[in-house]
Amino acid sequence: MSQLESLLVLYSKAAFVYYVAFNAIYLLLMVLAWLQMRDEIRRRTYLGLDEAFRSPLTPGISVLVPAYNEAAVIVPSVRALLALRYPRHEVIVANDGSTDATIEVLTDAFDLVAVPLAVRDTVASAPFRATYLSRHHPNLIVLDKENGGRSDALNAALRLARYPYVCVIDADSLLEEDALLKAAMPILDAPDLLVATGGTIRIANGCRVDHGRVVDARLPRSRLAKMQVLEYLRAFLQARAAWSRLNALGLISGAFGVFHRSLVEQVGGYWTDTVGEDFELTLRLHRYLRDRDEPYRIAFVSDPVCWTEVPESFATLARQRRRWQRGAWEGLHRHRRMLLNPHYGAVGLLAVPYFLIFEFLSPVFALGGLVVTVALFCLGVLSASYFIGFIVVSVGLAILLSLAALSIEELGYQRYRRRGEMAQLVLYAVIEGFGYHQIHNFWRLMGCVDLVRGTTGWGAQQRRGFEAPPDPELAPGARSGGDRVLG
Amino acid sequence: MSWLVLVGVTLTLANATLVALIAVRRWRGLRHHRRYDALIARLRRPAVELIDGDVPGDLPPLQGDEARVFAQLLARYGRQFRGAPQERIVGYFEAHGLVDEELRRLESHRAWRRAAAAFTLGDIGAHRTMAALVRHLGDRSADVRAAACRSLGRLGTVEAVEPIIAAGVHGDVPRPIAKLALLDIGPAAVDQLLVQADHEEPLVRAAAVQLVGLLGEAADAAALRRRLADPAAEVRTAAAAALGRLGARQAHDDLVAALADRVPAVRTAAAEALGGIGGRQAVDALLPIARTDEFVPAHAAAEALARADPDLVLRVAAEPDAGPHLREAAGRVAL
Repeated sequence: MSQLESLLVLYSKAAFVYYVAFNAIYLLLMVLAWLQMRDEIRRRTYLGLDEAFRSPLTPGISVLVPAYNEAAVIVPSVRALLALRYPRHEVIVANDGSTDATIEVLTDAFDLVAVPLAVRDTVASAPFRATYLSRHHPNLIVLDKENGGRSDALNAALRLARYPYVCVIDADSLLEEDALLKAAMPILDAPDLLVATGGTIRIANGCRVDHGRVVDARLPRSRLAKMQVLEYLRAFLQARAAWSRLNALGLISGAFGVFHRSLVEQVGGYWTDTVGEDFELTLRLHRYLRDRDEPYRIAFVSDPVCWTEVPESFATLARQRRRWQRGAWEGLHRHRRMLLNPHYGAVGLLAVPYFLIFEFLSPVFALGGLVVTVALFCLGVLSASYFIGFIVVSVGLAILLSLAALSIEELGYQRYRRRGEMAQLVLYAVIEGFGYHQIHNFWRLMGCVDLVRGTTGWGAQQRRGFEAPPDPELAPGARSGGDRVLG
Repeated sequence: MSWLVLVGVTLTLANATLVALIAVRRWRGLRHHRRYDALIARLRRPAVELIDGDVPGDLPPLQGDEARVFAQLLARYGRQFRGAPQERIVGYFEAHGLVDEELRRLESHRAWRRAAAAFTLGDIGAHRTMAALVRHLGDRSADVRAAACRSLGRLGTVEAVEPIIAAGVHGDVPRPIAKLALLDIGPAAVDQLLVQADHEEPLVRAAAVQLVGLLGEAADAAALRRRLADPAAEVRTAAAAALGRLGARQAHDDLVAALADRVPAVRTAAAEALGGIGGRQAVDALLPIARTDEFVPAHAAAEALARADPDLVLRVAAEPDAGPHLREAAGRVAL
């Protein structure tokens, strides 16, 4: 065996160990997630949601909605946000220099009138063009600003927020009626401790939507979107729930998170030089509070649900995943000081290393290891037993994790109630290990290539709109990206 | 090869077990949902009739799941009623031994069962359960303490005010939950809250003053006026807000004086209060704050002016030194 072959065999074995370690960690997370789910389900019976809803003491929440070329979806989305079951909330839409008719459709739908609003200077943002109020909805504010990206739009909306808490969501996301109240409940019960909460993101493709509400949860028709249903279930119901139980939640999705406004302002708002602004902000909050030795919690709550549209084409999904890979690196690099630093507790010792090794570096080991192993086997360097073992363990454990996520979904939530839907998901749990995982890791690898090349920006996505049947005229260039599925 | 076979068989068995678990759960879950939905649809009307005082016409003796779902429906509706409808709900639960059943669950060794029982007892509304709930304000589980506190609020008995305040003061129950429970008890809690307004701890004073503002009446304003001079800023803030809610015109001068407080939150609360009370002196005092103060008090002052004297706001907003808050307030008035 040549020296190169020996090195490659070593690499293959390292990848094998990586697979096993990754899956073993995920299985441990699953156990924690299971315990968390059990506790949350039991708490549902004595949560006190009705009391919180009718209480004049419940603090107000400003819902921040960054919008870029969202004309196709923005009106039903804002209507649904205005109708959320929460005692005091306002909706602030930040139009980030859209080139489509976002402002026009909002003006028509909500009878907007330009009113000069006072703007706080707590965080920086691109200049405002105009601010609008609605004649019919006193709790709706629309601001029109120069284009500056999602983070900048959120910072601009933050400057107009009046309430002590802010809820950040995407313009194409649909919150369930009680979602804001449920996400805020832990904060309402322990306002001195809880500084942020995140809810579950589910996939709206294929669901029946009426007036901005998902009224019938269905699996998407697209196979690619079905694969993503599994990914989201693993990411939210397993990983997030488990990290939250360890008080080491490293990511609150930009698609749905509630934050203490003044804290976000204190840390400087969203960082505009990243495409992973949600991950970066979550790490920054941890870092800021740990540096000051302040007691705090950042929690994931599985019951409040935000439905979002996911890409149904390989090209769009590839762009999204490459962007997420860049965002992960930008956050990890900026907060590299937290890595394995005991000062940052479970976040520094567990969550950040996990993100680095098992999320960011997964294409290096998972994809690279597989390619090298297959090549070495074909060249006769590796034995058949090793090769089969490699495949059986990596695929078998991946299926096990997906089935575990499905069992949590079935035991605790049962959102998909149609005949055959769960059977389809079980089937996809089996087949996603043969191709989809590898393609996903390839996109991540290309994200690393983008990093080396210095690629920036969000790229284009296609937005179809929820209520209309599939429309041939798709709104181009829409951006959302907070619904990342990192563990 | 033996390790390979072992690993393969183990993984296959684990996956097969999970698939079986999902399948069984799916079958049972869907059956449960269908049955539950059907029971709710069938029992909702009899439940409403019982609450309305009509004898449910087509309600046969309930057993098992039916009785459980009927009790759940009544308990859920029980949150929305006081007086005679609630007494009828309590009567049903007492007649069927369900109150005693919940009291037994309240002594379960599992915390979640105790918490669920504590919460359900609040839904049922039987006053005789108050002592047990008060005892569980000292439960070892935080969830049980919180559920007991919420239920004591829903029971609405004035005897629970003191233990709830004590639980909030000692940190047995998160203060927001204790405050909400006291709010649920209603005006009957005011006398004891006024006593707590003199508590040595500022946060307790502030909470008591805030609740008096929500539950009290104009006659309670005299006690709150003193608190505008409290050494703790959070108490002064709460006092100003409470006086505003009570519409305490007699506190007008004190609130105008509070507009000069060194703490912005106090100035903000005073401005908001004066917006409701109004008066020439208040308008004169609010105007410079709306023009030149820090963001939050200036904003509150401008909004208060818009409520107290909208014509003035429209006039001064056109002046060059109006500032952004008055211009926004004028825009809102014009809207």
